[in-house]
Amino acid sequence: MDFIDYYKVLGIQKNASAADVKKAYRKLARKYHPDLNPNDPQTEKKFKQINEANEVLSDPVKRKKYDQYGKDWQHAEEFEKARKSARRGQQGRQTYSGDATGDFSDFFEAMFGGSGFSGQRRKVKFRGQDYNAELQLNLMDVYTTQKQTLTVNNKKIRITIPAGIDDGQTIKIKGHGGPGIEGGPPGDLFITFSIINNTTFKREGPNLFKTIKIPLTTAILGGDIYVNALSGKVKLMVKSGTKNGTKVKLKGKGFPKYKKEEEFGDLILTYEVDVPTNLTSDQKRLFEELKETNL
Amino acid sequence: MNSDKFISIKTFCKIHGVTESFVYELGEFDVLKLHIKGKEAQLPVEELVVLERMVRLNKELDINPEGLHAVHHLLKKLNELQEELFVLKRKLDNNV
Repeated sequence: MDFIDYYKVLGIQKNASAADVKKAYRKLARKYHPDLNPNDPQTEKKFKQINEANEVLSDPVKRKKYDQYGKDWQHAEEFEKARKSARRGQQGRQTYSGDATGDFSDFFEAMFGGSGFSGQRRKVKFRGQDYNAELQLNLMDVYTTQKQTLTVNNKKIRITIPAGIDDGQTIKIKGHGGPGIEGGPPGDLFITFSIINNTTFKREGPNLFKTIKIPLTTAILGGDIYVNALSGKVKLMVKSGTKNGTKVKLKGKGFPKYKKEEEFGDLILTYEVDVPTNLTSDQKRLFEELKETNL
Repeated sequence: MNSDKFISIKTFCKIHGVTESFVYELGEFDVLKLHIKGKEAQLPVEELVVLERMVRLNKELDINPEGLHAVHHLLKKLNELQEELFVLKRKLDNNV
C-alpha cells in the first residue's frame, strides 16, 4: 500500500484554499466523471482517485490529519490514540461518526476508515421541495405595485407584487420552498395569482373594455360625456351622428403592463345609444314633429 | 398499455430529490421520452438509466438542463463513434 499525494491528484499546492480544492475537484470531476466517459475503466479509476482526494482535502478535519501525518500515515493511528488519551482528561470524550468509506483506496481506509476517526461518507445533497401557493387579489389590488407579507410554513416573507400581474400568472420566489437535504439548496416557492375582477371593466392583458350608455340626443347631436376610467374621470367628446356600437380607444387609460414601468394598455369603450322608453308628452310631441320631417 | 413499464415521475422525483420541472425540462429537450397518461406524464422504464445519469450529472457536476441536453447529444455521438470504431477494428483484424 503506497502513500497517495492527494494534492498531486487534484493538481494543487499544499497551501491551496478550500475554494481552490473545490475548483480543482470540479474541474477534474467534469473531465473524468464516469457518466461522461462511458466504457472507460481508466477514467473511472481516475475519478475514484479524484473523489478520494476531494473527500480528504475538502474536509478540514481529514485534511489536517493528512497534512499532519503525511507520509507517516502508517503511524497515524498510534499518534492519534496517544493524543486522544492525553486530551481525554481535559476535554471529555469526543465522538466521531465512523461511517463506512465505500469505494476508496486501502491508503484511505487505513488512514480514515474503521479507526473511529472522522471517516464520514460524502453525503449527497438534495434540493428542497418546491412549494406551490395561490394568492387571491382584487383587480384594483394589482393596479399598482404593492408589497405583501405572506406566511409560508410559519415563516413570514415579504414579496413585491408587480402591477399588472395577470389572473393565473405564477411567480417564483427563489429559496422559499422546503429546506434542502444534507446541506442542499432550498426549493422555491411558486405563487399563482387568482385575480378577482369586481370592476365594471373587462380585462384582456393590459387592455380594458367597457360598454357605456350615451343619451340619444348626444349620439345624434354630439356632446361631452364623462367616463370613469381606473385612473380617474375622463372627459370625452362624442361626435354628432355616433352610431350604436361605435368603439373608441383611450390610449394609455387601461391596465398597467406587467413589469413595464409607467406603461399602460388602452381603454376601449363601446357606445350603447340609450333609446328612451318613458317619454313625456312634450318629448313625444317633439319626436312626432321630427317624424313629419321624414327623419 | 402495461403500467409496469412506466414509472411515476412524482415518485421518481420524491426518491431522488429533484423537481418535476427538471424532468419535464429534459423531456422538452428530447433528452427523455415521456409518456403522457391523462394529466400526468410517466417515465418509460427504458428511460430510467438516462434520467438517473442526468440526475447524477446535475447533482454532482452542477450541470443545468441546457448543459445536460448538450451532454446527452455528445454522449450519443460518442457511443455511435465507439461502435463504428469497434466495427472497423474488427474488419481490419479480419483483413490482416
